[in-house]
Amino acid sequence: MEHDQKHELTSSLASPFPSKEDAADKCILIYDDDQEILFLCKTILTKKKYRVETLSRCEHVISDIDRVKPDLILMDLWIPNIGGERAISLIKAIPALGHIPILLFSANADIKDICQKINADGYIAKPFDVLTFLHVIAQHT
Amino acid sequence: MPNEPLITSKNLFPVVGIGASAGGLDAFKQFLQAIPEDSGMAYVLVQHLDPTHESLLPELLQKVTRIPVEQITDEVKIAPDHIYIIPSNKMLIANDGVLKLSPRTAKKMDRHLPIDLFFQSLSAVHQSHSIGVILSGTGSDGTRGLKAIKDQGGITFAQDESSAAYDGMPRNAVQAGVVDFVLPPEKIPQKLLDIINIYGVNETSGMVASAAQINEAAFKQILSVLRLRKGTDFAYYKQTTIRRRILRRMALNKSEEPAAYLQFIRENKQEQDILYQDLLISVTEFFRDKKVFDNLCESIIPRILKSKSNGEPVRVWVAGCSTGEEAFSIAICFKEVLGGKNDKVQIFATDISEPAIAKARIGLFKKNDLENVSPQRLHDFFSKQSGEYRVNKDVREMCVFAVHNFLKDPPFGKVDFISCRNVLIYMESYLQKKALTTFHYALNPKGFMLLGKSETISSVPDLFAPEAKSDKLYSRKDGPGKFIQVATQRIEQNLQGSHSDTKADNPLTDIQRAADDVILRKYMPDGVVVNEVFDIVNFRGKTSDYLEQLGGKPSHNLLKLAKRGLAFDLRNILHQANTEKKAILKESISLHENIPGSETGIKQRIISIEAIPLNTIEPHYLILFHETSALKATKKKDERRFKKDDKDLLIQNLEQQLVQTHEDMRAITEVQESAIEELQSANEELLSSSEELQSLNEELETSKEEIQSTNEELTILNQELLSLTEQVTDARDYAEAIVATVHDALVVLDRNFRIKSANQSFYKKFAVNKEETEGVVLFDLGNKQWNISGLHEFLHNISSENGQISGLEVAHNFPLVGEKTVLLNASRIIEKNQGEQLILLSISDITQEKNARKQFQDDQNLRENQKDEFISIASHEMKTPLTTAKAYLQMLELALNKNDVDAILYAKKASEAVDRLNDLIGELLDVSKIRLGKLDFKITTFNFNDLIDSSVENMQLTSIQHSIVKTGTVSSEITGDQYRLQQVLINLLSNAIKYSPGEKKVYLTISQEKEQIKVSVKDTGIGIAQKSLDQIFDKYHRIEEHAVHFQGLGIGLFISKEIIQRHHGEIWAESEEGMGSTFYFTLPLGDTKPKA
Repeated sequence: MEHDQKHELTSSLASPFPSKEDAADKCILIYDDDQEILFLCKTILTKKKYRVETLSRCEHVISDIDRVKPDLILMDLWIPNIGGERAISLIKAIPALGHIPILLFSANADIKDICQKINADGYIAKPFDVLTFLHVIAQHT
Repeated sequence: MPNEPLITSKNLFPVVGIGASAGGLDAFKQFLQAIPEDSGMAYVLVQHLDPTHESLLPELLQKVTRIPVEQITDEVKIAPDHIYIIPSNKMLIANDGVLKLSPRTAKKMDRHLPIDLFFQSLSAVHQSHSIGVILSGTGSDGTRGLKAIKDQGGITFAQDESSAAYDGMPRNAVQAGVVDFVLPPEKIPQKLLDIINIYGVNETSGMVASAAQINEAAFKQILSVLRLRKGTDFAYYKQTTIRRRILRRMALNKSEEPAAYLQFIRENKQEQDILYQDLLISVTEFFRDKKVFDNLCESIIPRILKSKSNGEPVRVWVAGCSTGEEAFSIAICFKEVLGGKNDKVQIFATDISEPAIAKARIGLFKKNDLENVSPQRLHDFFSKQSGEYRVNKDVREMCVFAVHNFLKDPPFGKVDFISCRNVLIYMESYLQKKALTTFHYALNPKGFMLLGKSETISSVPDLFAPEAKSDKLYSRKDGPGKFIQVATQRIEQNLQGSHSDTKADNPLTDIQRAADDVILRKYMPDGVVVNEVFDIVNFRGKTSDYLEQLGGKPSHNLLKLAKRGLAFDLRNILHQANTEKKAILKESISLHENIPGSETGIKQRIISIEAIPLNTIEPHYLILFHETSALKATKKKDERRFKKDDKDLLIQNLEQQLVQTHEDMRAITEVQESAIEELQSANEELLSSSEELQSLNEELETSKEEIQSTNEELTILNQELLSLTEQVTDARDYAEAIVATVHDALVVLDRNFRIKSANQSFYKKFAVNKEETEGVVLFDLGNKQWNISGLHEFLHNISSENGQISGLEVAHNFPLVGEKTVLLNASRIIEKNQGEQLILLSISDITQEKNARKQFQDDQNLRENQKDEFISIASHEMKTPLTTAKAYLQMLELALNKNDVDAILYAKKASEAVDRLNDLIGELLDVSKIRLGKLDFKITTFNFNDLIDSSVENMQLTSIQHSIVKTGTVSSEITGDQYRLQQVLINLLSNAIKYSPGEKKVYLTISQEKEQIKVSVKDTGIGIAQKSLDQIFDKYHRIEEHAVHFQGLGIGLFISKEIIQRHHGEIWAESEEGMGSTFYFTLPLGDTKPKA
């Protein structure tokens, strides 16, 4: 039963993106202070064969990246200890990390403006549509 | 009018002529309803009637009264207690107590004035018994008639303007000054009865004119106004006093002429009452003239009580008691004499003044009224009551107070003691006499009377005798006192002539009486009647044998007229008769007469004379002359004459000597008589001087009382002034206390901005003291700390402005007290007395207030920011679980078996709910931003059509039931916030869908007008009530009636409106309930850049 459901979900999730079947080797690093969100994202993305690393604090963002070596970073804005904006600016300050796309991942109503302001690579507004979520991630990996 | 003269009627009842025209029927009814059945008057109604119609007036009026109402047929004899009514098309006159009709005059020369005509004839026939009443009507008919009635001494009435349906006729009459009373019709009959009852039917109103001694008609008229109103005739009161009082009222009313005052008093009933009370000078006090009361207690009261051995009550009459002090004084005296004994004493205390009697009945007196009351009496007979003294009940119960005019009303009878003090002094001697006669009538045979200091009984010496040497205390004399019933001159005349009248009235028809007369005439001795001073008042028979008129001044004096030799004896017997009060006869008086042609030339007669005192009020004496033997004597003499012996000679000699002696005596007597006569005349002069002095004294006494009453008035005025001053002082203290305590600093400046005064608050607040402040120019005060540029201008303006400038806020660093913000208000005060212009400057220190306000503002801002922050955090926090919920729902939906349609639907619905929740959170944030003015716009230039299409597409995705029908396109691009405008479109579309359940379509129409784009979203749903249309764009409005069916905060339209307005566009709605709504908005094409 459980297997059937998972299969269903996988197939329905997979169906829009048939070309991304090989996404399994991509690593996505998600910063969020809410464990539920982290679990949700991990669930969805794992089903799509992404490797997912989640963190709920962002002050060690540089060392985290060094350790995880992500292909994409989702960054919440209101996150301990230094906040998403500050964390992104820390990453952007290091040219060697400039190639890693960073998406803002927030419930903030002004997410679009903030995204432009801090020169992030894109954003996913919470709450999100699951298909849109996968689509945006696929685009940036 | 008939040509023959009208014959005066002998009817002795009043005939009331009543005239009316338009509106008269109601007035007649009211008038007639008020007439009692036994008024004793006849009423004749003259109404202007339509000549061509038969009048129904008698039938109509008979319904409202029980007095017989008759239509007049010719020659009706007037009877009292009947009402007569003029028939139509007739003229009516009264003649000899009969009403006569004549055809209405066809001539045009006379206006048709039946009322005038009738009244004129009425006045001619019934004279002073005629009474005229003018009721409602237009025109002036009746005025001349009333004048005629008034001229004849009748009484005239007019309906008052307020009750009259048409006031033309009454007003005309009133303005002509011919109306005595102006009353509503229903009050006229009572007034009539009052007047008739007061004066009796014999009264004529011409009396005042004939009797009053004032020359000016106005004074007479004033008195007659009072007489009519109050029934008191002041004509016989001392005119000097009366006039003084009238002049006093005139002065108070600023009337310069009596005529003007007359006019005033005629129309002003209040003034009539005031003048009336003013004329009745009420000055009195307790135990006035202590000696009198001592005597009363010591001798008179015991004597009165003694005479009442059989338990009869003692009756006392205090006439003219004023406010009762006299009566209470006497009552107290009786109480003291009686001790504990319970003898009954009734004191009737009367006065003509109602207010005085009312006051007396209460028996409440002020401390200074009681100066003459000894402390013992005060303790025994008075009790304190709210600061005043009240006469004890037992004393009050002894006294019966009544309004009574002893000159007019029937007097009390069987009175043992009368006190009437300082009342007579106001009256002319005629009234004094009448009053005293009344008192004489009222008193018991052994009664006493007490008069005022200056009053005497000189006018009626035979009625009262002075009691010992006591002051003005008199005892009643038995005498034929006649009580004069009615106060009219006519009655007095009747009284005087009453003796002769009775005789003349009866013709000599009786034979026996005729015979008696003959016998009387034949055998009656000749005689005369003389009075006290021997003046002849009546000759009876032939007296020429005994009396003769000698040369010189004509005289009635018996002793002067008596023939030679008779005077001596006459005097003797008169004197004797006077002293012995009985008839005195003196016989054998020889009377010598020179008779030319007789033998001796001398005729000697022997006569006897008799003096009989007559039983009359004034002493009178009847002197009878009896001829005894005149002839015999003569004969004897003749015989003797021829006997010429010595004896005869001696006798002759002696006789001659006797004659000589007689002559001598006669001469001496004459000298004596002339001396007496001189004395007499001197005495008379003295008497008359005394009378003059008496009247002067009375006058002085009156003046004294007047002055006293004026003085009392002045005292009262003074007290009032004092209390007013006190009030003013209180008010001032009050105001000053307020000024002193008021928190704001107050400064009063003169026109040069010199400080006149300042309050404590000012000194305290600006660290100055009184000494250094007052008199200093404000700008120089306290190291010139007030030298503020704005203040100069402000204060200069006050002179030019309307005296009031407020709200100058000045922030200034005062060297003495530091930085302050003050609020200045100034107003110009003009002191009435000095005419000085002052400026009141009020300085409120608002430094703290200012700071507090700033603090508050800061706090407010902080709070707002916190709130804003809270809302954004809250919405953020809410979105987090929403995010997981939405995703899991979606995943659930994807995971469901495609065949399980229900489950998929549930998941979809849950998903939609989450979406709506998300939207609401977004809107909440928007509203919060709008309120703070922080709603940001991202301005771009874009294709509006694309926006529309994407919005429709978006909408269509979620609403499957409705299809959105779009018409029209826009070619231009517009500049604005794409996202926000889409928000508006989506809001309008989703509303249209939401509020048209069951419908299939909503219509979106776009059109490009001149400079703007117009968008409309139309649905065919439930619509919006007209009354709610204005409010739907308000924040948090939700269409009430639909609240049950459709949820939502209703803030979408508010946000839409804000967005459109920020784009310089307009948004509005049109709707009809049940038919659907259309929402419109416009966007200008040019610069639509939103406002900041």
